Amino acid sequence: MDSNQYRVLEGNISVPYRWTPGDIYGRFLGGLKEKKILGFRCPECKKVYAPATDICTACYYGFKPEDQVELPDAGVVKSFTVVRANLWPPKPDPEVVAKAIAPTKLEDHPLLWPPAPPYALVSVKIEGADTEFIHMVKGERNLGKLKVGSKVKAVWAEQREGYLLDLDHFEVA
Amino acid sequence: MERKAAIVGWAQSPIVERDERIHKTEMIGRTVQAALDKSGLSIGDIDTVISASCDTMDGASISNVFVVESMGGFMKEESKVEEDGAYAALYAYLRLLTGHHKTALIVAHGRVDTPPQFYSWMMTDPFLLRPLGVEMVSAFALQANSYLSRYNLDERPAAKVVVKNRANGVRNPNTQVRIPISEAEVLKSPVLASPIKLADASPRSEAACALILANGDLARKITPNPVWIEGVGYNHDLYYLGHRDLARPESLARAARMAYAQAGIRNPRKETDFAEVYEPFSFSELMICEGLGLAEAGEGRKLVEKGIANLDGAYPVNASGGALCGNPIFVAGLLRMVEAARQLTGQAGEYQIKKDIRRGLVHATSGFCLQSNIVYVLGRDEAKPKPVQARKQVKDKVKKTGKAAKKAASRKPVRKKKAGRK
Amino acid sequence: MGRRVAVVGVGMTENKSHWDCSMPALYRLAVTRALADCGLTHKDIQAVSFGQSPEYFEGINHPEKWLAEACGGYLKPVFRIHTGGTVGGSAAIGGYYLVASGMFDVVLAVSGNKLNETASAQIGLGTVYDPIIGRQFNTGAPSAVALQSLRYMSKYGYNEDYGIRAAVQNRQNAMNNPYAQLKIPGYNFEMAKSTPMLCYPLRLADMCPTSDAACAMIFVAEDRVRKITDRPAWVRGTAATAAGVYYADRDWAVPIELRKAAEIAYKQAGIKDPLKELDVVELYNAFSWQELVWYEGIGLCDWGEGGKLFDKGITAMTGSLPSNPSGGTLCANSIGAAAMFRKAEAALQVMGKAGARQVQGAKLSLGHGWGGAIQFHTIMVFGSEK
Repeated sequence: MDSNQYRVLEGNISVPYRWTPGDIYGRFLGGLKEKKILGFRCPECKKVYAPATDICTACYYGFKPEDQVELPDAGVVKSFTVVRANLWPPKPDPEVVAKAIAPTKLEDHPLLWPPAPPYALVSVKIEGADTEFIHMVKGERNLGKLKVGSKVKAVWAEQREGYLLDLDHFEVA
Repeated sequence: MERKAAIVGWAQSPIVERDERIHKTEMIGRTVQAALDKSGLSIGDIDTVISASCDTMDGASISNVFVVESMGGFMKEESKVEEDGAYAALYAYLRLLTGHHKTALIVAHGRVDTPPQFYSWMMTDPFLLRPLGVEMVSAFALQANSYLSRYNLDERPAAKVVVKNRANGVRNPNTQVRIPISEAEVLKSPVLASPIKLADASPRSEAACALILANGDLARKITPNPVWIEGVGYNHDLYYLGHRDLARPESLARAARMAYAQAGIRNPRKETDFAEVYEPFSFSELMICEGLGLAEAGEGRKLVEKGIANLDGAYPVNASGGALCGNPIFVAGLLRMVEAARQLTGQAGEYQIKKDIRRGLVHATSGFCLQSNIVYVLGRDEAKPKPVQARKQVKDKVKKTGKAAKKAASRKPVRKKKAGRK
Repeated sequence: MGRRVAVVGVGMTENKSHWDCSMPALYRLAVTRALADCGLTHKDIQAVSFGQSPEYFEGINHPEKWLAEACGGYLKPVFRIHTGGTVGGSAAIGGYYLVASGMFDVVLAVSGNKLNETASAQIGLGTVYDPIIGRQFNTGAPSAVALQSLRYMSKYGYNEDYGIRAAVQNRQNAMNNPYAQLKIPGYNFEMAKSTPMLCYPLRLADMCPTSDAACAMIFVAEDRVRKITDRPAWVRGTAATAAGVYYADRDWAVPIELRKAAEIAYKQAGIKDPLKELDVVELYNAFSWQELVWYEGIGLCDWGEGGKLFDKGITAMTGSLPSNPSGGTLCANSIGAAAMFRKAEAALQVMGKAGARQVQGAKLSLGHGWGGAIQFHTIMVFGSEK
């Protein structure tokens, strides 16, 4: 090989992870398994967070299980974007992905990869919540109807394991 | 206005999409050497080195490990800020303010060693955002739509931002995209994630940048045209996109207020002359100008519609072409400081702002949807910039210390080879 | 030089596998303990200096974006410092500079890692090596330190037992530390010596455990200190230095960059004879032999004399300059927090709040941090007096 030739060394960093959601995220994800959207109400400022977060940031209050409130699985779109282009590099070999970027439960979600376009990323204000839930709207029929102010309802996945995509997507009501 | 520390030297490698012919240490080494040459210093004159680089982009843990020698950090007081280089400059500035150090070198590098989508996707938390494949384009698109619907705007003002910045970029020999574009072409370019189109997005870029700061007394000895840091502010908003008001980035307003308070500015539009802002997407520039207080909320469009922000306008924004013409991650914000320094010292060449300028704003951001922001107020001395004597050696003026200085002085300068395009 | 700055509050989490706790909750735990320690609230914090080690450990890039709000950083100035193993020290030094510069009066420095989120921290550590030259061996930390340890042993003629004895001393000290992970009752030389050899000359006993932990420190400007506490830890000296990564050019048994950091910090603190003047040191001894190498690095003795110093018993809990009353990094290593634990332990000693591990009458202490690819060091010197 010509020693002056410019070369590129190709490689891959594969690291398996086991992310611990802890009590609050864990309850929220567990709620999704039961087809429920759970919020957490701050006892100090009364703000309802859905989806869950460990703390009410303004009050620096750490949520406790008793702050949990059950919310309907419907809400209003506050903002959205329709992703049209494939923003991602070509999908690598499934085995490589599974090793490289493992979700919480690796065996159950061997193909964690962004959805194929077109899909919409939406910011949904769940009824009774003070925050917005970032999720997806899928299907051309739904995408065509999508507006700021659209009412949306959750579509649940058949198989649910306590993972964000147990709520498969929202559909426009 | 007490003047505590100033920019006294800088250098950048030309922004390119990808240069696979040189190793990053070469890219950094040459840039640092060029910055030292420009200010007439040697590495022995530098008291502390702060770097900015990203493990995920470099595909290497503790990415400053590899570049310590090439950036001149060997046996020096060194640290790394894993944010945009503009934050590294902040940390260096803090160090100068304490008096522990008198000169500081800031080095940022951004190489596209991994696809930028992975970089931004890995910024998501594992529970709520990662399963959705949220990355920079889709997150900023969500924000752009929040902004447009809040103020009932269409996509044309943002297209005008692209037209303006690309026209400026043509004049900037160090930037990457140097092709003008028309408003119709922007509006027709393919949609990535509505409302962001291909032309609204900054390109994939790499570059290295070095900046030298010195404290008050020393700065005047090093250069006849110090660029003073008159104020700096930074702030950090909530992480989850659904937890904050995307249309009005509160952290930006607070960062600006902090910087203005230090610089004694009440009306930034009147008391400063131009701005260099880090706009990852065209829509961001409108929001940033509003956040900086250059326009009322929802009226950032007036700056581009009336030509105020043009190179020959009353208040030029991104005379350099901004990040839309070249966006090396971790470097782009530091480059805004360099571009402002070029303008204030009359060294911007083709894209020099013609009107008399004394003070400029610099903005940089990191995170999704302008989550963290930093704002600088930079200013020059009252007198007009003095002509710069090339490669003026000021070694006799700066007291040398230690063996390292002697060793550095005797070292042969790195042979400069212009890093070209691929 | 700048304003005088003191540490008024320290918060630590236990070093263990926090499998029941998310990353934000872990950080919040450390921060709330630090606030409680000095009677402040999150509203008093003006800025946050955030630290966390390599992204590959938790698979989260820019972790401060997600975690800063759990540290009370909501709508406050926040930046992240990241220097590998030294990050806890670097973040603490960042906190010091934020106050000393006059920019803020009350600053929180926080650092941590949750190493049990990844299958093995050594995968992430393997990427510390240059992908073109070095990563092919993918050595992780233990084998690199094995080279350092053997170099030290053979250069100065110390036998294998010195490392074991240093490990035993630290493990025995850890029994007094409620936050340490490795606490083995009755731990002795024979138990350590009988552990398996993992990579020569390092046995299991010579190595640190894998922990989840966070640590927080609150830095306050001079004029605010007395209102908050009558037992502050004054920052007397700080330094963070780097050497190169080019292994062929370095002698790992002689950490000249650590000596340089120590000289800078001692000069600031007005220390001329550290062995006599310091009352307690906390060293980042992730591996047993490093305890001896760092003695030399911080100038307690000449190069090669570390083992002899250890023989004299000076650095034992009963000696004149106890090293690692907390058990050190050998008994708890979360990487991200470990270097800040060293600083925080050193601060607690001069505050007189170190509980069962308190060195009586400690007035001047040193906290050390080590990281990068064996080439970054941080030092902070704390005093009970300004």
